[in-house]
Amino acid sequence: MAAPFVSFTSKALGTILRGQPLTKCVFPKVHLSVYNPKYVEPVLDKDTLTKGLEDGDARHHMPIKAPTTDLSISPLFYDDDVRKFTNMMMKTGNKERVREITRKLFENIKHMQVEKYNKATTDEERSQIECNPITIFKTAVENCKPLLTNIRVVKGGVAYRVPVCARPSDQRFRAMKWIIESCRDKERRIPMENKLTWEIMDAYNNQGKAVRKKQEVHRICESNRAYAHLR
Amino acid sequence: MAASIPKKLGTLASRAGLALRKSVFPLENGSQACACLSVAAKRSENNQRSSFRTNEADPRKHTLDHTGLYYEIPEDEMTILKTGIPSGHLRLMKSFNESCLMVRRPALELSGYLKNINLNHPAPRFVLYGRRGSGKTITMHHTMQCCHRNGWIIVHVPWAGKWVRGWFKEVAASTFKPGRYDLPADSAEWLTQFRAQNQGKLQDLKTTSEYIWTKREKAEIGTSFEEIINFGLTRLKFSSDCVGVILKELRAQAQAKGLKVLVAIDSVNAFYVQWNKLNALKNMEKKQLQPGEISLIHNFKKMINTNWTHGAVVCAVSEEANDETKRESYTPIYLLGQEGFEALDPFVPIFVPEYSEKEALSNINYFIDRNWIQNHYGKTDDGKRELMFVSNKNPFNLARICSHL
Amino acid sequence: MASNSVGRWIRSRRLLSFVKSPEFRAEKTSYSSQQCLLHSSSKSMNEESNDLSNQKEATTESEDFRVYQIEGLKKAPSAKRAEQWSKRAPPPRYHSMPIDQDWTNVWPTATTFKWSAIPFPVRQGYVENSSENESVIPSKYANLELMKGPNFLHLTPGHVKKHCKAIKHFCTKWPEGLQTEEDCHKHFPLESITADYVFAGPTLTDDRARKACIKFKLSDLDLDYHAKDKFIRLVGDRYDSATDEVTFESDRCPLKSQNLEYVKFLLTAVYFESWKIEEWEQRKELSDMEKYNWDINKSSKTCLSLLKTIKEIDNASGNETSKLKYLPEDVQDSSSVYDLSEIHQYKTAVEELVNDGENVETLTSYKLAVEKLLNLKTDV
Repeated sequence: MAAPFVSFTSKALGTILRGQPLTKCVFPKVHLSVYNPKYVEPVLDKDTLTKGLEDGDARHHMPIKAPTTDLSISPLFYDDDVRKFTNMMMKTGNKERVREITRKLFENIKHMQVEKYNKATTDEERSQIECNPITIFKTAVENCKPLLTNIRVVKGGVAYRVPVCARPSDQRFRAMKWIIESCRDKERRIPMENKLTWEIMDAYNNQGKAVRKKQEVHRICESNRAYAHLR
Repeated sequence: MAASIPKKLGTLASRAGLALRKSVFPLENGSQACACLSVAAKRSENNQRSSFRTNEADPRKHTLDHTGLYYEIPEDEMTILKTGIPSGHLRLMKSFNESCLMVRRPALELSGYLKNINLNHPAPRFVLYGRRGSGKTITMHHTMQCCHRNGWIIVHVPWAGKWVRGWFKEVAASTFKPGRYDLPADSAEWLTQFRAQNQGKLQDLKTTSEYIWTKREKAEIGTSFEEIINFGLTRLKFSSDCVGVILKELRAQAQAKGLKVLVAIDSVNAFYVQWNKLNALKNMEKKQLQPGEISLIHNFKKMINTNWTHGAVVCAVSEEANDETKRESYTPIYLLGQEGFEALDPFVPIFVPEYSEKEALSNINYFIDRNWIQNHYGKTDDGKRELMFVSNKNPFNLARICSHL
Repeated sequence: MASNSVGRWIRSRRLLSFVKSPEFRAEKTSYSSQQCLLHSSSKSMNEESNDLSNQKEATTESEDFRVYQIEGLKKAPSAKRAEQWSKRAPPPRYHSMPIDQDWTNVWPTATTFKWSAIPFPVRQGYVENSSENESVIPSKYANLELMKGPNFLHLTPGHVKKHCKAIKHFCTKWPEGLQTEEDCHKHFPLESITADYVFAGPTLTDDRARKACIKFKLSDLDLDYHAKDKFIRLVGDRYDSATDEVTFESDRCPLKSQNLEYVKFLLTAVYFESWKIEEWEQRKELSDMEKYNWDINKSSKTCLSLLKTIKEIDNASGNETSKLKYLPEDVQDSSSVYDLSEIHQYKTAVEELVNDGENVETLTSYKLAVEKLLNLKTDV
């Protein structure tokens, strides 16, 4: 499955990239932020904050967004991907609950891996085991990221599913969405954090529903590659 | 009691709570701990290990020098101690592939008292108190292990709050006395736990009087405890009565046979304070039950009395066992209420403080050693300081914060 | 009358319809305007006649050669306007004030702020923005803000000294032996407060003047424990526990003297009432107690019975080392047990714990007391 797919991707990417620069967006971009696009993101780096901006930095003269409550400069408690994942999981603004779910998710992952780690007898075995839950989570999301998506293009009254290259933010969104959705589909009585733990550990090993979903999208793109020029 | 303590306490509680919150119990001073932090960073791997660990696995030999250090509990003793240890703690022990507890000052203090007591005198009472998550239960377990090694019989109630709450629980009218109510499932659970915790200590114990369960069934004089427990477990209807029998026999025989009995009750305030209406136990007529009406609690209240010798009573008061409206302070008299204070007085209050700087650091280092803290920043001195600050050095909070790093 | 007739006249002329309103002022104004109107018409008639006479003059002059007068070519001698007499204000007084003047003569009584008499610079007011008054707060000249508020320029030390000097021969000497507050309180424990009101008004009486109030310290009264407790309960919120002061106040009678008499009667009545012990007071229960008293509580009974048991055990065992050493030989007599220092310490500790609330000190002292009571020791 994987081998022909890789060759295709590079080819498809080639055709797509040759046609038009990536900057031209294929999806209509909706501007929903309350901020003017001129505003820049706040600095979350502790060192930069203590040192201050350099003299020539353009941000001296630019308006800066106010940091939201879920941003933090602590490397202990803040990661952008995790924040995004938590917010995507949230329903009806109940952030306290999803944060608790995320906390338990990482706790579960750690329990699984640390137990293996502490039971391992040799150093070689130990070096094989990844214990950092953030790394596992990020790898899992990375494994679920689709390289291509398809968009609907109507040409001559006929709708085509046209494969296009996915933007990085879109890749992240799709990957996380599939992970969350595949967990929501599972047995309702099992706590969400447990379902997520299994799903993420599966995705970490390139298995599971979310990874299959990605492959399915890639397959559709491959079958529709003839429409690539219609974009 | 004069001035009706609950009423008075209602008004004084906030004041008392404030006073306690403001004043810090004398612990290690900051500079010393800071020095400890920087020194710890410089030490080599092996030396660092010794900064949070002790090889002294015998809790009887722990001294103040061992405070803040972790000691390992052997697996066979864990089967005795694990009832009552919070589930999160147990899960950590499983993942760490070893069962370790920290030696802390209140536990040493308590063991010191128990070492010096005169067993011929009526059983003295000790009450552990402290904020939520400050380690009252673990302190109790440390003491229990001490006593277990010294050959004490352990009568342990893991969490008394469970007995006053009605979560789809079976409540039966008492077979022994009308007006009281049995909790067959809870009684059976306690019997199993009691048998497990005192393996090898119960063979010689026989009943000293006759107990008639029904017209046909009775326990003759000289029935062994094992049989009583087995009877309670097979005939759940009588399990509460079996608990009563065992407790009564223990009290009676403690002096005669020179036994040593440790009564350890966690959240003892549940025995005296009415639980809220919503999910309190109710009888068959849907009438809410007072804690004293439950035969299990009635029997255990007798263990707290001073009318028996050769024993010691260690209790812990916890806010969680009280109704949400009565959690303003964590101090013993406020939580126990008037009735509880009268029943326990005179008792020795033992404060279980939150971690000192040294203890918190030791905890974090232990987590790092067990590969539990994965965040790179968390392993640095700054990260450790931040962890201590964010958790306010509360053991429970610290463990909770470290759980996802 | 006049206005009526004018009104009629106006109505007949139908000039102004709004004058029909019966309001006097409106009619009056319209009347004056009509007057003007009449004047102007008469004036115009005069001007007409003047113009006619001018024409006549011009015809007589036209017989000579008429020289054209270019206007503005010859400077007409301007009629010097007589300097109008105006009332000029004299220069402000503060310019001519000597430094060592007697201020009490400048400002003898309370009066409104007068800028010209104030020898110092002062500013008052609010400037909304920089365009207003050049963003400077207005100075004292014609400053209404300074005039609005009361001033105390008539109450300087010099004034007070003068006043005191003036009324000195009306005063008597302060009595000997009442130099300090304590002395006053000792000799005059009861303080009565009344007030008189004087002001310029149509009536000299003031409602507030009939009020009478007495104040005293509760500790000055001769009361035992029960009477004191009852007194406090009887007077209710008239007693302030922080200062130990009781205040009786009355305005129920029409005269001050009657009210004063009444509050004194109140004090007497409450005092004697609080000494009485009614039949129902015998039924006071523990929960009615104002504070925790160890002697009558269950704690003392359990403590005593516990000590008795321990004594029995000690006597039976005969082990010298582990017994409670402080207990006397005979513990059946409870009063001898209560006198022991250990018991006393325990008692105070429990009472403090319940009455003062649980805090570090009370809990520690309770712990130490219990340790001593039961002879418990720890290595730590």
